[in-house]
Amino acid sequence: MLSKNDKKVLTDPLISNNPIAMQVLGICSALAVTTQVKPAFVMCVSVTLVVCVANFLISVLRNGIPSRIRIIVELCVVASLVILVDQVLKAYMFDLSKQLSVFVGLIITNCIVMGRLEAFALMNKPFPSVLDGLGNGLGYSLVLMLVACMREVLGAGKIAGIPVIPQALFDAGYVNNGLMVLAPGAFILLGLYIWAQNSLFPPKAGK
Amino acid sequence: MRNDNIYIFGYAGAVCLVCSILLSLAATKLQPLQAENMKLDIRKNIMIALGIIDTEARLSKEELNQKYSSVNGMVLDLEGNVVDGLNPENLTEKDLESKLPIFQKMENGVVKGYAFPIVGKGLWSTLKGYLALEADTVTVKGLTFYQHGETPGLGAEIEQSWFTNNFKAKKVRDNLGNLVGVTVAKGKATDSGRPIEHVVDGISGATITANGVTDMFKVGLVKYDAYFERVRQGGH
Repeated sequence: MLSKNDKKVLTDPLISNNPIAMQVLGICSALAVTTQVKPAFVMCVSVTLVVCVANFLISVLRNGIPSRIRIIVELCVVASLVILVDQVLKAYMFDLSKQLSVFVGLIITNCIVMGRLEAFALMNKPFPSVLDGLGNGLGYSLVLMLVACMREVLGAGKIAGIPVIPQALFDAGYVNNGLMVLAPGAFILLGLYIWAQNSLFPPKAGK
Repeated sequence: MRNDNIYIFGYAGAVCLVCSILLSLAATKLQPLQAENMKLDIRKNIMIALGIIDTEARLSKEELNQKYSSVNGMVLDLEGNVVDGLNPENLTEKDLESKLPIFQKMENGVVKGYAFPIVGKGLWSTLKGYLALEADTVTVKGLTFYQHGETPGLGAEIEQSWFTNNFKAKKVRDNLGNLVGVTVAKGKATDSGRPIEHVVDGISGATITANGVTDMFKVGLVKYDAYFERVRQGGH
């Protein structure tokens, strides 16, 4: 179904051109929402959705957008989409939207969304653009979930609110690492992840 | 591609028009649903504070509204007099400057507790919640937060039951009858040097949020003090 090129567009951002690890985009939200798995997951879904739809719309409009105001047009489209997502969440998934509070609105400022619009959607047809959005959304989600799992386990002893570290360990004197729920914990984990990926899958020379 | 000013202005205008029509359409269409969700959420919080339902309980709209029938909402003026003919759920922001909503838990015609809204400032956001007192108006019955924008994992932990449950059975007045509220300690409650019935464990990394909680307790209790004084005198 997918051509070779389409497949590359979809799978490249997962590992070898991961938006967080390789393009170093979207770091701010990666720090903010990864203290617990649940909000991180909803954030991943929302970002993936927004980046897909925004990529599609901008790609459809790409031949009409005047280049001098393209950033404003992109911002306008992204902001509208994000507000729409926020409104729908508030109407149909109230509990979830409460949990995410301001972070839904902050998708607007996620550099991955703008980055993909500029780098891909403006120059490609709608279908590959959607794939590119999906790939980048999933690549972002992959790192976010990994960091969120680590932070919640080390910082709170839980995954998605379910205790995973046995009580016996706490009784024996084990203490949750408070650093992990603070921003530096995310920086350290993200740094380690980027380092690990760069040594395991070194970027091709000349790229 | 055309790149002259007329085209650019026209294009920008068209994009703005489409976006704004779409958004205002969505906002108006979804508004009734959102308002209903919010009202229901507040009812839920009042009932959690009053101990009618459990924090983890997943109840349908109908079940929530049915359980809410045991709650008696009233409106007070600033002197603590009951104002008749007003529904506490319909008070506007402006009304709240001169009116105080309060919710009683009724059991066979006997008041089993009082819940009222409390508001305070956290680190990033306004904290809104409900505080419930036992019928003696001194012992804390429950506490919930229904709106805040604090850091997940840190300040946002105030809404978790492990934190709010610590407030249960704490006293908001000392033995002499002075209003002292409940203080969120920095660290362990036992290390704070205060009488244990007026202090709860803090959250590490969330001191400013915790201070906000301490303050909102005081502010809220002072506002309703005139009414509770009457209740203690045997009125209402």
